[in-house]
Amino acid sequence: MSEKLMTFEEFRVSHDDALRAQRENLRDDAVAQDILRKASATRGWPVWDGNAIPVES
Amino acid sequence: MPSLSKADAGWASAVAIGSVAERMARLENARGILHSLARALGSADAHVTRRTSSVFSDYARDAAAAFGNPDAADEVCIVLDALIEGIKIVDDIQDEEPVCLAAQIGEERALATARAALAYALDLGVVLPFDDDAWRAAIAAIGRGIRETALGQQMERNATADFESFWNVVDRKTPPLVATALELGALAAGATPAQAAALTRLAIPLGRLLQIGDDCNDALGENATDWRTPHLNLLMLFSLCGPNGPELATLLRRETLHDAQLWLLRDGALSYAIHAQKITLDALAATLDSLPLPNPAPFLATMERQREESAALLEKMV
Repeated sequence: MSEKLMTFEEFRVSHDDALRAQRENLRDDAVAQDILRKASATRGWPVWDGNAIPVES
Repeated sequence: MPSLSKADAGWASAVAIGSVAERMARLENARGILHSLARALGSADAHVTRRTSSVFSDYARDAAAAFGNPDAADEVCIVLDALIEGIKIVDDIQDEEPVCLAAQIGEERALATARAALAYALDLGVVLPFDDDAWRAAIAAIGRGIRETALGQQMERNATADFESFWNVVDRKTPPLVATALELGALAAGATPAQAAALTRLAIPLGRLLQIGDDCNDALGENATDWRTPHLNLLMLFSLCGPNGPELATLLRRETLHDAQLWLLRDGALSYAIHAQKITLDALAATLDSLPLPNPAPFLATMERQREESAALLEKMV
């Protein structure tokens, strides 16, 4: 597997089968909603200030 | 002469404050002059929100731990909170955030508050208990972080809807503050200025990871706001450049945001973001490997956490 960052076109071509399978899988709305929820609350990813909790002003 | 927007005015102030601090770090009686400058800029009026955690504090603690003393970073974390506060106020004005300080108290007063927060960061820097060489390196790192972040944020205003522009902006606006956090954390733990400066080679991959994580949240989260500037969001840019981009463009409105989010998922935008994340994690691992750190374990643990989170998501998707 290439170690460089693919362009969006290269990614679409090289992952065509996987992306098609993913689209089919995500047609089930419950699965898509679940991914959406998990993706937006992934705690292991750093974010600018999303994981900051103000403790005093 | 054209008038500056409020955000431009904020970034221009930040560039000036950062540049002056960098130069002052070299002066003989730097502490006294820097303290006077900070007071003149309103440091005494600053109201800085302390945070129990922020990604920049995490990086400072990882850097301190890499040099054997994770608790040494506590004082520099307060400096980082002040920097984040000042930069976030101006960034929110630039992004026209509906809920932000400028919306509450007006843009002029918010800009004064941002200047005060940056000045407070400098004032906190004045009293950092480092030896002379390390202290000068720390002040230069704080000044550089302010100046380069502000310049990168200004670049964002001229970004175009292509990937070259996207990564160019990301690499200019986010890594400078990461570099400051790493340098301050390392210096606090007793690293030499040269060792601390070498650690900033991690700033580009860590900054990219931060931006990728942010973009995932800002595209797919409940309160996502990036639909207003989709060319600045990796997931949205991926889909907008694809064969059905015009269809997505019609959904990028507050009222249809949820449909747009499902559309992004089905189009593979999150998968592309995770691809970018994986490549960046590999680059981070290679850079870490090349650094003679006494203890790289804290950074390796952060990397592993991200890999596991992303792997768990991919399992569900395909």
